[in-house]
Amino acid sequence: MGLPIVELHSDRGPSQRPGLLALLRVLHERCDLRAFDPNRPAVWARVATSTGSIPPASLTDTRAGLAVSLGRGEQPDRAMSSRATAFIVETVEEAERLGDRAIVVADDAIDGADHPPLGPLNRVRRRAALGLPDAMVVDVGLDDDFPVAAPAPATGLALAASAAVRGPAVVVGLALGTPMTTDEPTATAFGLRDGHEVIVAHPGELLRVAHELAANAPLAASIGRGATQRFAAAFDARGAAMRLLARLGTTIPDPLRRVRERLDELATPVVDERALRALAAVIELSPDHRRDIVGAWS
Amino acid sequence: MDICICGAQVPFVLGGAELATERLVTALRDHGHRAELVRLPSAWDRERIFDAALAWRLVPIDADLVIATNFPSYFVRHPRKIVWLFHQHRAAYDGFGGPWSDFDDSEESLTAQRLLTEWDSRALAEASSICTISEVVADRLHRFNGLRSEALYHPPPLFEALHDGPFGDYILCPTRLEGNKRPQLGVEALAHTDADLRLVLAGNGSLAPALDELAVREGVRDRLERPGFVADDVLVELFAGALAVLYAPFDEDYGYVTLQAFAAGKPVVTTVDAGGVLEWVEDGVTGIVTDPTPEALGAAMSRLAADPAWAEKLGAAGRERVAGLSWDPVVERLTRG
Repeated sequence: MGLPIVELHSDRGPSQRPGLLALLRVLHERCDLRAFDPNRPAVWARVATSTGSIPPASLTDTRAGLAVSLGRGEQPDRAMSSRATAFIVETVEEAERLGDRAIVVADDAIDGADHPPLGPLNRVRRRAALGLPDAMVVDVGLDDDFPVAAPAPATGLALAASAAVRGPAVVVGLALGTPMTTDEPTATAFGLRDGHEVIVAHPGELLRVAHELAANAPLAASIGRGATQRFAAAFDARGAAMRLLARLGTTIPDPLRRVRERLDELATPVVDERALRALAAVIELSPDHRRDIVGAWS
Repeated sequence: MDICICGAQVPFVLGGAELATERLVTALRDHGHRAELVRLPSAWDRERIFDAALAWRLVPIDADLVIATNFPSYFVRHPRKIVWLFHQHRAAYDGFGGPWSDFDDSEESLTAQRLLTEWDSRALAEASSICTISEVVADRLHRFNGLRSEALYHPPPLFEALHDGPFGDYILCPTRLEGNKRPQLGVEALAHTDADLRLVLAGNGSLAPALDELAVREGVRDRLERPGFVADDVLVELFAGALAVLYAPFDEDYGYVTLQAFAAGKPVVTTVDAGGVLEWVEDGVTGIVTDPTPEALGAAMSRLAADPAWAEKLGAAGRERVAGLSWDPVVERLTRG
């Protein structure tokens, strides 16, 4: 037993697509992700970060699954179209054009496990536990230290009843299910719809509208739900990685594979207490393969 | 069709959900389907609630259709899954932080609540359609998980056996003697009636000794009858001879007692916070809806005692209200998918 080998075909130089990198990081948890080696006899699947990065030999090897990342508006040629198991695209619109082989990973995609959604009830109780005001509204601007790494704004977005957000932080807010107001440029840049996943307002009115949103619990709940749905559809690198694995076919060793797949379906992080509890139960049944099982799990 | 009905059960605990799943199996068989009840044990403590959910996730079920009912049976995976939701794990939602919940403001609780919300939302959203046993359950599902559903009402146990009878000198309160059913309100209300009424509190539960002590303190011990658990035929006759039925639980999911009272032609006295009971009891039409205080409930009981003809009129309206209840539309809707 061991992790399945996935070979990576990539262009030279740093990637301009952070979302794709996030997807590859998640993929690396489940697979043994390795750089292309022409002498490697067999691999389980191949992932190409562009159509131009695939060597001809990989195109003719039909034993391994092949996932190809397409540039915005790029059309796969006939050979690629017949060979590829999955296409990684940037927008929902492009995915609709390509059908069920398409996996959406926006350029701004992040790992959803880093910012799991918090519903209104959970936010209320967390604010109460921390002694924060119930109508807590946060303001996250373009100058704040984003994306992703900065804990303070993300914590604010996780706890807030609503938030006024401009710029890349809006993706974290979507992941967290934060009811948000945002300005027109941000909404346009991230493909967000007014009244569905955000409330769009004039920049000078953002905070005031955010306060109104916090006071309107049904609307705030609806916007928060729309945000998580939008995140799952386009910005969640982890969800995309799981869908990609499903397209390629999974080979995590039994008996753990099905347990892990079921937990993945429910968006349960690998290190979550509940997931580790399931892992412990399986290890008890197979102590001789403890190392393999832990490797496959993580 | 071959249909599996999935229901979770805490071993040795039998409640309304367990009865309803058994009766659904019978109804499906009556309509020509092959129906089997699939049960897995559950535990309600916070530490273990996810274990049973995950177990359901892994259970292989070969059937044409799966009907999942209560938490966590709806975690079952099937290409044709219908949910007829009796309840979620309320301790993590509307009951969060309440006296019967082990979810509090600790980080462990909040993490578990967040994850349960996520799991519930995903597992329920897999269903091709979601029905609930009442509007109250549908409303909670939308409020906490953002999922739309439709209420699908079913007849209560003993529905066909219940019949009307004389409007006697007692108020019947058939209920489990547990905190969320608030049987103490009935005992305290008795002390606030100016009529010569008895209260028949039928059922068992952990509050039984405390209720007896309360009756002594309130000076109504001689007017309280507590027969404990009563057999079905006895219960039918208790309904038939009552002046009215008192049913004042807190935020009930559905409330069979209400429907049983109406089937027996009796009005129901309840409270504004009784939940699903209020989908049936209309103040001044099929019963009386009061504040959840002994004084208000006592006054309502006195009013009915003073005017039995009005009680009869309310009861008749209640009977008309439940006249159309049947398993036929339930079976038709659930098997439609």
